[in-house]
Amino acid sequence: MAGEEQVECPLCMEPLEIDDVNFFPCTCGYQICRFCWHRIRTDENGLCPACRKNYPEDPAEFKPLTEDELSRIKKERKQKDLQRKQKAAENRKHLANVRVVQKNLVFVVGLSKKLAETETLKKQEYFGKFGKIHKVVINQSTSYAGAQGPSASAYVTYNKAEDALKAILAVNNVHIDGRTLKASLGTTKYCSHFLKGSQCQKQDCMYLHDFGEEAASFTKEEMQLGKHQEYEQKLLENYMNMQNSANNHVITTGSKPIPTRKKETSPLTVTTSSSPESQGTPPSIMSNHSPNSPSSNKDAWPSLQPGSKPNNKPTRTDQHNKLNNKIRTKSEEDTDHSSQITDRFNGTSNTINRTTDPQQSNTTHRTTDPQHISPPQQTKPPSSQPRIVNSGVPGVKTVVFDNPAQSLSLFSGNVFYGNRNQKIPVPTQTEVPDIPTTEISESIQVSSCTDWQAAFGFTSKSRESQDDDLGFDPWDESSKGLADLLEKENVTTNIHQQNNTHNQKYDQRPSQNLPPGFTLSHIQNQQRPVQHPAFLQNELVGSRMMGFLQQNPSMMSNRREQTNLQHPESYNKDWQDGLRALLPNINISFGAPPPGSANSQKSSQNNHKSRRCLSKNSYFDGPRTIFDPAILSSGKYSDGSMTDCPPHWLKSITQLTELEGQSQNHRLPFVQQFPIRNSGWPTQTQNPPPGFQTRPPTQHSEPHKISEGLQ
Amino acid sequence: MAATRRLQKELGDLRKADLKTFRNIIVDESNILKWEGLIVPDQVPFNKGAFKVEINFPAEYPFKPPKVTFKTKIYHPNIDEKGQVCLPIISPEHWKPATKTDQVIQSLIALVQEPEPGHPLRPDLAEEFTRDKKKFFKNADEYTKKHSEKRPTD
Repeated sequence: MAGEEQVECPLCMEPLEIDDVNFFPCTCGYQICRFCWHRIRTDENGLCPACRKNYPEDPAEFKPLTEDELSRIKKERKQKDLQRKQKAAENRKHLANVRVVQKNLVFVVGLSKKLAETETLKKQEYFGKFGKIHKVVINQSTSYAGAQGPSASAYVTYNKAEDALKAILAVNNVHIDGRTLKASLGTTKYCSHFLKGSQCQKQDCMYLHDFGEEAASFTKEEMQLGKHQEYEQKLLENYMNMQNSANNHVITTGSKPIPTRKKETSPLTVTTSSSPESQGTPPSIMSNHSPNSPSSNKDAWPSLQPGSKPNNKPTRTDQHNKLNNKIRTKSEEDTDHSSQITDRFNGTSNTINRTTDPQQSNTTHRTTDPQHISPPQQTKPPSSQPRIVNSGVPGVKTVVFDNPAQSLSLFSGNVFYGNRNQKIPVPTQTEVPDIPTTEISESIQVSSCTDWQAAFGFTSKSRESQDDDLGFDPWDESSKGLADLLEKENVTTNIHQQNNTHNQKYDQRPSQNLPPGFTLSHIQNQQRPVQHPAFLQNELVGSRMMGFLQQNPSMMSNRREQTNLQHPESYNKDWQDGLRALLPNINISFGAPPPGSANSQKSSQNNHKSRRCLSKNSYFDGPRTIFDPAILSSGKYSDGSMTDCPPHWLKSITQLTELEGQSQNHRLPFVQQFPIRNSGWPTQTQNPPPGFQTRPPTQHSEPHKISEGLQ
Repeated sequence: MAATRRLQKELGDLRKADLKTFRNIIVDESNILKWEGLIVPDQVPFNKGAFKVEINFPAEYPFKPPKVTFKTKIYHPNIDEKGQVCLPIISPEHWKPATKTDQVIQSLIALVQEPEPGHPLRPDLAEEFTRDKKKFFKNADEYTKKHSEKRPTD
């Protein structure tokens, strides 16, 4: 121990204990530890490992340390340790001023309070979608808020550097909750313990404990000059080049990170359903989500896409494409038809909720059902595959931009992903002109939601709806309620305008969002709103509560409508609604305009109808809201969220309320689709649970009865 | 395991030493008890080739000696057709746990370049070596050209 470094036993290479320091078992002076000495004497030949003399019975030279010596040695050690630390501290002093860019760390600024939750950001819908996250650290301080008002920042540490770049490319400049997200590679400073040369005792300390890469190290002065951003740009470009080369895609100028940043300033909201594939959400994650997803997914973003319930997350992209394709095809054939379908679907969901509420025991069925549902969707799409690119583009990405040019720029930002997916669609741009500028301005917030979704590839949450079925989230419900209240006001005022402007958009969108199965289900629902309890169970994850609420006696007449409204709202708009709930001011203004643009695909047609209905329904909603917050929220959601969901439920409402009188047009498609549904239900539709197909007639009848009884 | 810890250290030291006469040390990560290397003699008659060697360490290493075998055929009195070597310092009766692997390798290379006809594994070659060195060198040279590995270029 006296030496500069710890002495090791030459045989076992273990450092010598303090007691061993003065232990020399052989007269030749060859030092070994007492452990090896004991082993040689008992198990081996008992010869000195160096001179091959027999070890004497007692060690040739061994004087046990006295207390004084021990304490002295310990003191010396401490002193040496201290000296070493001081030396290290001096050598590392300059590092205190250095920040090292971490290639796997994403620094996000502009998070609303709602998003500023570690678990929320980790979710598949948010940063979890880009790769496995090692750690999320939220900084609630609003020092980064700038002009956007109070917002939090977060450090998201990915396991892989490329996932971080992916996330930055997707999230940077996305508009959500009225804020523009800014994402960049995060920097880390050296751990103070490391600078002092001491061991950091903090578990999972996120600061640096080793010397960082020279190229990634920047002093504060250099950072003020933006050197670290140049470095990040380089990394991003390399990453994109790699991706492009991998995909054999020609890099578009837009794909470069710089343009995207410029775009950031624009208030535009991009709803890129974005290709999930590009973002690279690991399949495993998806699968994991599917089981748990019902609760987690919906919880995180409760409202966004109600219509998408049937879809399974794992197959999102595929299903998306397929669904979109189908939807489009259908929409092309009959835009009205699709809208009607969605409406019906909503209706069914509502009815389901009602039925399910009484039958809580059905939970198991619900869980199983979503899985069953998903496969059918996949099977359905065969026809649409060739179209995927086209359909995917328009449906997936609906961008609402104040200026077309801006939208383009935003797209360029997104283009990267799009290229990867091959879905990147310019078509969204084409849609943009359709949207009236005024509406856009109103819907900016919504658009932000959409952007957010797009950035995270949420566009079609309908598939996720299954997840919702499984789990009921109080948070979602409450957020929905808030959103509904907020949106109701908006809806009443804006519905008519939105309907007119969005009709075209909606037609396209619904097709995308609605899975083939949905349309069928919707149709059925419309026709038989209360039917299919099993189906309801499957779809209505979060809706149970809704169902209970709806069941209130006061709601009776409205229940069907409400339930319909709520479901679509919750699914489609939950997300947006939650956001809006958090930011009431923003939500209000947006509510009406965005729905079509925002989301999307699913329910453009439905939205139109629903909106129209909403105008009618809005009156009803007022009283309903009074009775049940949930119901109100649902209504509000639909209106305010403007997302796909609202249109769905609006449609459903309108259908329910106006079924006979107003929605004759809808019904016509209804009827047409109905037969399809019957035939196609089992295999094609995602929504219907396996059991449903077999016993559609009985279930339908029963649910109706139940719903009626409830009402 | 004492063997693992010690072998890792020895392996690190050996690779750091970067011997010219013993190269291409290959160790399976899953089994550090088995090493492979290339002996590259720099003296006649074996300086025209290289010889693959396998070193097997017992789990009790260093309390028990390693075993060395030649994987390449060599025309040598102390190395038999199976590649077995008679190396005194790793013989069980002479083994000293204090002996390091690089010492073993050094002595192995020394043995290759300086045959010891007094303790032959192949008496015929030992006899030839003692009686007619020229003939032995010639045969060894030809044998090396025919059977040995390619020498590393650098």
